[in-house]
Amino acid sequence: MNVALVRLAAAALAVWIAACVSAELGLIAFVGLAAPALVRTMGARGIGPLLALSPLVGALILSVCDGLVLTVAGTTGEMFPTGALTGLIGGPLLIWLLPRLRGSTPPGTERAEGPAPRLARPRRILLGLGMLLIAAALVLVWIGRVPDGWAVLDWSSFNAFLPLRLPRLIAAASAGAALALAGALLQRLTANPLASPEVLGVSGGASLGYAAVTFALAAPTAAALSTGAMTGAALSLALVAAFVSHRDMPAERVLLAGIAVSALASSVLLAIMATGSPQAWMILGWLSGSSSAIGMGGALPLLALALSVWIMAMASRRWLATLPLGAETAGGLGLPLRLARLSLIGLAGIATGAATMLVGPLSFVGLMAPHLARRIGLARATDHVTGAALIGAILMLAADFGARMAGFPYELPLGLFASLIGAPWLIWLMTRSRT
Amino acid sequence: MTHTLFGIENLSVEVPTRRLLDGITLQLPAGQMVALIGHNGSGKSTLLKVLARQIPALGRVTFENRRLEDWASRDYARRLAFLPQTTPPAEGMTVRELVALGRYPWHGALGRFGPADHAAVERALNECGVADFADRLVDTLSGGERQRAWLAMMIAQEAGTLLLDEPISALDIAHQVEVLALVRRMCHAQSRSAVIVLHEVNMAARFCDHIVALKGGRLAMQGSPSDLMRPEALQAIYGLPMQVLTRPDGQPVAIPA
Repeated sequence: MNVALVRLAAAALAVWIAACVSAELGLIAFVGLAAPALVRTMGARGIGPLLALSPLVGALILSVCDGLVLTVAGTTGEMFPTGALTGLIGGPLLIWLLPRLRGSTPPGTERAEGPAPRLARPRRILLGLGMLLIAAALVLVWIGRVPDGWAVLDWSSFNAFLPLRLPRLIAAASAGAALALAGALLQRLTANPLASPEVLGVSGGASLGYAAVTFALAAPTAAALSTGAMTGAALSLALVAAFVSHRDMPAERVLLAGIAVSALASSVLLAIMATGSPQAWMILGWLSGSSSAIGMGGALPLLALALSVWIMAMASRRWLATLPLGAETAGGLGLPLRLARLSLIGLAGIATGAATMLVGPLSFVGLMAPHLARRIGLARATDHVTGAALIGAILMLAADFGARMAGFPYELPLGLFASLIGAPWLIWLMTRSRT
Repeated sequence: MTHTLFGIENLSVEVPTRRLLDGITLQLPAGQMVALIGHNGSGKSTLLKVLARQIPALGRVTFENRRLEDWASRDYARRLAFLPQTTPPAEGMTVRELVALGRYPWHGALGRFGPADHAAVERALNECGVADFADRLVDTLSGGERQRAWLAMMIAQEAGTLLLDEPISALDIAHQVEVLALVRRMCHAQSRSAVIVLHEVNMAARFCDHIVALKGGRLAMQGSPSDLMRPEALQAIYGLPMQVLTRPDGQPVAIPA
């Protein structure tokens, strides 16, 4: 059988169907994931029943959602998008289904690439990355754009600009490092190179908390908004942690729970955006991520947090070295599995939550930086994590610079610019085959 | 008679659709090489995983006269090492680093990797014959070399009891003999105990001191290799007529009749 051809045909068919639906109806979140999952838990086995029943269940879910939307529209006059509402229902549904689902990833599917190289002297590379970080920070403070071109600041204007630029440089670098640390921890914990803090659900929870505050208070202060986002992040973290403490819950499944939370959050946000209210604009501004408003008071705590997460990661280096070998091996060596998973996911969650305040919920740095660190040959747990943090910081500095310069004199949102770098990278990563 | 390593009373393991182990009562002797044999799905791997505390079970199991759940994880790992059936890819790890992971039960998450740890790693590397490629990446080794590297990790753990789940199923015949001889040597020369899940009944009879056979989640027989190597016993275990031949040196060999 020509496996590649069959795969291509199946993927093409699926994409074609999905594209038709999107073209006709717009984006419908989640039915595609929830319907087959639901059918499977109802006991359908084999591809035949699955294909026969999934469309029926999907049709049912979407009809119910559409009916709900129409009912709400009839009573309040507010028209929510149906696609957002399906996510609202599908997200919790999936969270509820997860512990009941069985099934596994076929072996070998997660290993898209050949073995990564391993450096004989990782210290040198780490040192080089550290210097590059410092150099980048210096250069980025020094040069800037003026209305008629580029300029290198002289000493007096350097002194004048430093207090303005330094906080955001520190904040951007710390956020990048924190996200990268979270990504490296998760990738080692799950032994999955595609795990990233964005799918942990923490950012989604943070956005929900943020949105809730904008609606609860008439004139929300920055502190109230941060508290809201923190609370949202903490709640979704607690949810994910509850999944982890299930003894048999594999780490890959935890990421699925995170995806469900993220999808739930994005559907709520989508619904809010659809109303076009003033709150929606506020949320939109935060979502795309910006470092322009941050002062020293916000930057230094973030730096302290990134540093302490790094120190904690160094302290758990033996866990990080052993966990990629799987639960059986780690358990056989006497590793406290549940404690290790809980504390590492907690650590990653805190790092993500804090960085999300600054750069918004989606940035890809948490995915890219650990991966890059591994590809340049940082193999040992300590080297890998440290290298990822440095690369994350450098990437974020670059994104911050780009965000300031690309649309001068207007500033592009930092998170948006980071995604602009990150998304093509992710696509490139996924299309690279093992050949 | 030797003393008891594992005391198993009325042990059952259930998954939603069926019983993997059904009321097993059994004593495993210490200081011996014990083979767990049986047909596919007989529950031998499940039993081994219960003993390694990898899966929960109903019933009462003691290890060195203490109940399994009363052991702290690191104390247990100091006394007992477990090698899973399939060894995962050790991404970017050298053989020496892999073997050094075996020291975790002794130094813990934060303890210093001291001289005793270094010495144990060196001993394990030499004992398993992997010292020559200690600095190579695990993933670049051949199947037999990799298996011995993982075995070395277990040895570095310096546990008195080794649990191995089909350690030779991926190896050629020369490496099978080599690995089993190594385990046997460690049992008898260093008074360790080993419990090994094996498919190959002749290998089990040749290398092991004590045989435990499972069938359909129940105990089918236990005894010495000579108790096993009888056509009636083999037929009862595997449900297939078997013939036992005698080699010139007196060793019995079982083949399907």
